[in-house]
Amino acid sequence: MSRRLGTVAALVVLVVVAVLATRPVQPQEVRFADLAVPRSPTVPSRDSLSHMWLCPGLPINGGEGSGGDVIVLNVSTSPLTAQLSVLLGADSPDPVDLSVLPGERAVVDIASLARARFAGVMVEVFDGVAVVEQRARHPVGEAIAPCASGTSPTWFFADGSTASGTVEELILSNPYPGAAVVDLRFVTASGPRAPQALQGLVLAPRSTTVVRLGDDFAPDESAVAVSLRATAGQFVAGRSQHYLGGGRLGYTLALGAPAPDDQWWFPDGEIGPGITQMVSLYNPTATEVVADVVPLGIPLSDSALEPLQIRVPAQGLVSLEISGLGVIPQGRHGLLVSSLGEPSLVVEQAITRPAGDFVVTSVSMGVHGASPSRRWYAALGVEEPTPGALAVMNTTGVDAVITLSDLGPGGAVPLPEFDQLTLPAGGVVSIDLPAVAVGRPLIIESDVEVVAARVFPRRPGSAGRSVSLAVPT
Amino acid sequence: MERLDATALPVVAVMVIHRPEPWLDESLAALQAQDYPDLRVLLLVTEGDESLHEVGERAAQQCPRAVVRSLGGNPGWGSACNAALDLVEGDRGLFLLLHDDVALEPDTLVCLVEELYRSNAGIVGPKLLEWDDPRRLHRVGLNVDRIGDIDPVVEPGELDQEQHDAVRDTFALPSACLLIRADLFRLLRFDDDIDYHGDDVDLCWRAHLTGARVLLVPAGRARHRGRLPERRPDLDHRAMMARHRAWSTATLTGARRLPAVTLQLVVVTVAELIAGLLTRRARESWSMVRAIAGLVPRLPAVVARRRRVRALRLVPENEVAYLQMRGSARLSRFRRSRFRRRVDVAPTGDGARRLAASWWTWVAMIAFVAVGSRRLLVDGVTPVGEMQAFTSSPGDLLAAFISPWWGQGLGGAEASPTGWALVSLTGAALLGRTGLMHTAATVGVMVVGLMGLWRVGGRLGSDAGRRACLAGGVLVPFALGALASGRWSALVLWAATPWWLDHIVDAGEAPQRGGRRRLASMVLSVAVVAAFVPAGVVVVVVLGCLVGVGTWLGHGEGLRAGAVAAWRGWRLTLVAAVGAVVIHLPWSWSFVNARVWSELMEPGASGLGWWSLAQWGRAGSVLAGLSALTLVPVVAVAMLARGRWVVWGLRAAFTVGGFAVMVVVIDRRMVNIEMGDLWWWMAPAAVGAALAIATLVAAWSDDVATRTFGWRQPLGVLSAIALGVAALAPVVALVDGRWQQPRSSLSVLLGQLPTDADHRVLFVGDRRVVPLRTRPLDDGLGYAVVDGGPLNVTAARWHPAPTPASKAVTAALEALAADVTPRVGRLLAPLGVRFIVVPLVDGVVSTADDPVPAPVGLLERLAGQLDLRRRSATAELVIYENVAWIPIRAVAQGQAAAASQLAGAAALLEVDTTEVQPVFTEVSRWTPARTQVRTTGPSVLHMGVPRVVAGELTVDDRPVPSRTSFGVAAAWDLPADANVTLEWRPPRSALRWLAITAQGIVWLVLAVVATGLRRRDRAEVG
Repeated sequence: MSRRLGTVAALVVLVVVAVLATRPVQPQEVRFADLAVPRSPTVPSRDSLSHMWLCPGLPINGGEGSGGDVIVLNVSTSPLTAQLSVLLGADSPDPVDLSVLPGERAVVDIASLARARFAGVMVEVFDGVAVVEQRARHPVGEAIAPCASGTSPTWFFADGSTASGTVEELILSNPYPGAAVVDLRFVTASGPRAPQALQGLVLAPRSTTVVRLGDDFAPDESAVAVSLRATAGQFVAGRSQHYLGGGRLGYTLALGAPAPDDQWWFPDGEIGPGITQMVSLYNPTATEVVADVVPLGIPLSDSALEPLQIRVPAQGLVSLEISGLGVIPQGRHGLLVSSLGEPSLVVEQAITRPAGDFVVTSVSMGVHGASPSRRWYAALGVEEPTPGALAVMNTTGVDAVITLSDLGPGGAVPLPEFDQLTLPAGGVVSIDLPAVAVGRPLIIESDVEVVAARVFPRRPGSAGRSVSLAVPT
Repeated sequence: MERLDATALPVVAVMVIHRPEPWLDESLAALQAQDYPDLRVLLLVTEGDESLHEVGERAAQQCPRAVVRSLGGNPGWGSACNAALDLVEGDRGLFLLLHDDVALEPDTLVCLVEELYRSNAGIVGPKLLEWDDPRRLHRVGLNVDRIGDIDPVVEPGELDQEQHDAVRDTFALPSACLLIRADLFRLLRFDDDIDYHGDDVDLCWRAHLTGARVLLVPAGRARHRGRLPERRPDLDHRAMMARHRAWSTATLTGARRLPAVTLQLVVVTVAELIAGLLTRRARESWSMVRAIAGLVPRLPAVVARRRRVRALRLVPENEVAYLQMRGSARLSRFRRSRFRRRVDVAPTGDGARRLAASWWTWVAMIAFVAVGSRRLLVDGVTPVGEMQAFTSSPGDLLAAFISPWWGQGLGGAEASPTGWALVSLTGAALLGRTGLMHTAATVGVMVVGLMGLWRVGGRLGSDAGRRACLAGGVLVPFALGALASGRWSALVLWAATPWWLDHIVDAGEAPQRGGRRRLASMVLSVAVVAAFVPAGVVVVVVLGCLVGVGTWLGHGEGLRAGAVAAWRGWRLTLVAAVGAVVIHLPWSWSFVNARVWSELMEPGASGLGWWSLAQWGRAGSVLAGLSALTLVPVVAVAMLARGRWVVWGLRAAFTVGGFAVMVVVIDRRMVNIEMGDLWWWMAPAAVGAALAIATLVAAWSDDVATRTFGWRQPLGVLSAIALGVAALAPVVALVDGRWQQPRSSLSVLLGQLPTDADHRVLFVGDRRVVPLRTRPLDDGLGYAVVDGGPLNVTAARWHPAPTPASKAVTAALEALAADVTPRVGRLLAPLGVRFIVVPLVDGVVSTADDPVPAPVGLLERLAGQLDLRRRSATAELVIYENVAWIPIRAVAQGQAAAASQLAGAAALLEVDTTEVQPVFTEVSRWTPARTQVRTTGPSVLHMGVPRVVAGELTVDDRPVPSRTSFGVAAAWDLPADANVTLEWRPPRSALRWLAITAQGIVWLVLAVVATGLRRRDRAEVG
């Protein structure tokens, strides 16, 4: 009897094994880190042990009117130490140690440290949190741009031009001890191109490499989108544009976009006499995408317009002249460009505004879909009272209360008259900065997610504006 | 035949009498009865006056022609004979040397002298017969191999059927009865250093050197009693035999052959020792080990005797060697004794057939293993998975074991694993042949497992079942898969399981027999396995439980008797597990201190799926799917077995079923408990399946096949067909000669890294692909830190309990994952981590055709680090070099020296750690070192090991206190701007020595008890 029981028990065990064994298996994914989609520069978390900022590049060739500064703003409540390194490979000068008090800025003239056509700059921050920006000086104006808060294996630019002698230079900085290898592709009206000479570009360790478009590659193109992809390593890419024709004039130098996205926000749009506003939509993926372009911050009756739908082919570039559509009323507005499906778009906005007898063009990359924040920092403020110096857009469906503050040793100090400003849902506001804000860093805080951009004079006392985004937390 | 006349040469018969025993009268009477005309008899008495008197009286009665002399003591037989040379003058005659328990036939001496004349021999001897039964042979000369081992030519009890009745040259004759020319004896004499054993071989060997012939003359017959151990129980006969054998071999072998013979002697002795341990006959081999070691202090005497012997050499060495037997006398003896034993047990024709069948089974199995492993045996085992190479020398490994700190990887202030000592001793036994060790540790382990299956199969009481059990070891191809995939720990568990099973069953069935030895053997075997696979202590207990369930439910005498037997078996496993932990102290204490379960049960693979599991770990191999058919007998045996086979069927079924449940639970991740690697649990299941096959075959051949036709016969046939088809899989696996083990591995690719020992390498990635024992980081993710240089088995198998250093590495990797700093390289720098390796394809779990994806985000995070330079990126692995690394022993200056006084990540991140100068690079970490350095500014000697085990430093012969460096390492402050002499000594600990000594004694005692040396010694000698 016991033996029969044993036999039955053994068979039961074997059946249990069979039943359990045939249950579906959950695939095992081994995860080391949660990778966030690379996005626009962001103030790092206060939990970080140290962090780095990588400035896209400064023209420090010593030419008249050229040069550049790196501005390190301590946004923590204790002194921080930092180390600034100019990335010129074997010609790199010794790193510069910086010590910055809370709420204060350190401004370093990079031209005083080294000479080069362009130089990328790395700032390592210890013992605190900083926001780092660069100010490129050029004979035709200044270009302010936040530095990148990280490297990426890919970088994209949607709005480039080599028309009428316009100089477009891509500045590629590799801060790492190993070389990076980069493939460059560009898209023009005639389609995507990947010249052999631009494949396998080797970025030497801790160096800056400049690639000039217009002479040998994509000459005289009014629209050039660029895709840079590292097959080894990571890097930072900036673009220097000196517009000399094709309806554009002026100088810009800014970071590219580290990745495509499905939403791009633009707080500074303007329709008016003599103003040309272009939006360039670049799809670097292999799949065609349909983008919705939605104007925001305009009267309700007007904003009820159907979104403008743009079909962007795979590996394609579409340039859309907003000012020519005739559907957006005059004045300031914002823009949202979005698409369904996988992140596929890189979008830049170019606004050419009259400046006396000339025009001045500013180009800005949009704010990534995930970047709208309740706090934005601008390490560089205005150097003179400036009307319409800030553009803030509410990206939510509820009204926002925003506060504009100075940064002191103890933290944010609200500026008189800029406390508790109301910004309607989806609205855009243009803020005049008075004398009290001159020479001070700025903090834009809100109770909901907003995006903020600076619309500063391209040089104190001169006409024309240069647009640069603030840095979100 | 021509007879001798009265002019024949005089013969002096010398009989050495120890004590006048009852048989002496017969010996004396036989001498008296010799028909040789000129014989004189000299009786030499070794005992006192009383014996002398008694011998005199007996001689007067039985052999009046004898002259009796006292030697006044017992100098040994050879020396006693030498004394006759002083008593008898002249070189023309002959000496007949006799034991006192030899009785000659009347014409024996005449026959001997005639043949000596006829053949112009130097020494002749008669055919010796058993004293009590002259129909049986006692000795007919002695064969001697190159290393002095004796093959007695005849087996105990062998009938004299005239099969040896031809005069022939022999290498040696027993000293019981020798006729030797007086001049030759006077020249050679017996060696006074050799007494009781080996004196005959030594004398004859030297006779050969002089060109004298040594002949067996079967026409001369004598009875010999022998049994010296009974007469002299006070002597250690084995030790004497071994000592004299080593002495003769070392002193008589020609110079040209001596190195090869010495090597042969050592290798054979080691092999015999290993075989002896397995067969519990280690005492003889151990005696030889001691004898060889004993030669070392006697080297001057060896040299002196060789010099004396050189004067004797009149014939070329190869002519003497020609007379020695080829191969091993020991092996020849063993082969004959095995055959004899079988014949004794089953003397019928059926028994002989069964014996032959067993031999053929083993021949086939060895041929199968040899053919399947041929490339591994020739080219070496690929260091894949856990089967990393043995790169450390036995000496270094032993030094590391003795050291009071864990000197591998990040190190730790805890005892080194006992496994290092075992590997070191094995390496020493194999003369440091690391490749041979690698092969022995892989292919050899498989053979050990097959031997275990043969042994446990023997308990079935069915020859067919036993053979099937052995065959089941390859039909269930788990071991082949483990070998191919580098799953060494699983292979070790597989090899140990049948031995454990044998002990467990034995404890249940025969509790009163050999309990102490069984327990010692079990503790020792569990301990040896646990030395390499700590989880073995858990596996053996579960095995005991499952086998116990089968025993309980299947016992032939009912549930109560079954429960008692099951409890005895399980109790044995429990005690063995606890015992193994105890004898691994102090190493096992590190498990107690740490999270014991996590350390024991580190997770391994999962999510393989039922089909992959059913193929016993060979998924992806050709025809591996057929192996799933081996599960058919497991189900069949539970239903088909009757009578005495039920208990075996249930044991097999519960072993397979129980362990399979655990395998599936792990594979499906059904419980949130660390349960170890699923292959560990599959190993006993595979043994259970082999046992099921064996039981099925046994039941079929002894029961089912003889019964009337019913449902059991078709089921048996179905199982046989299934097994036949399943057999195709291991047969196909023979083709490549390496069990489909990959030819290349990560270890080979890592050869591109520098082999300096001044740095460490951090492996991080999917734990299934990292070829080392890893620390868990996250689910499926792990890391390991090893010393620079080739990967070795010590790094692959062991790591210390978590230390501040390992916690620092964990913290650095967590910082990397969280992206909270781009300077992780600096966090790792004080620990000497120079390279970070991310394995991607190991050729086993992850192949080029089916790679395991890299852990999400790992490569991206590494690429974003400012101190990490990508050195290599292939499909198989990615290597980053940490440019901020600090050599493990280095003088740091400037910023780094100042920062070493600070602790914590913040201090490290801001420091440029590249201003360092490596020191002591030329010596190992267990060797004192001395160097001179020039310091510039404040300087420190940094050492990337825990401070408590950093050792001692003197600067210009003045001791300097150590301090903590960077919070995780050790440092000594050095004078600024000076030329200084640094002398470093490794840490020492008397307590560690004490612990090792105690541990060694415990292991030795257990080994002695387990092998049953003393009991067997008494039983076997004589």
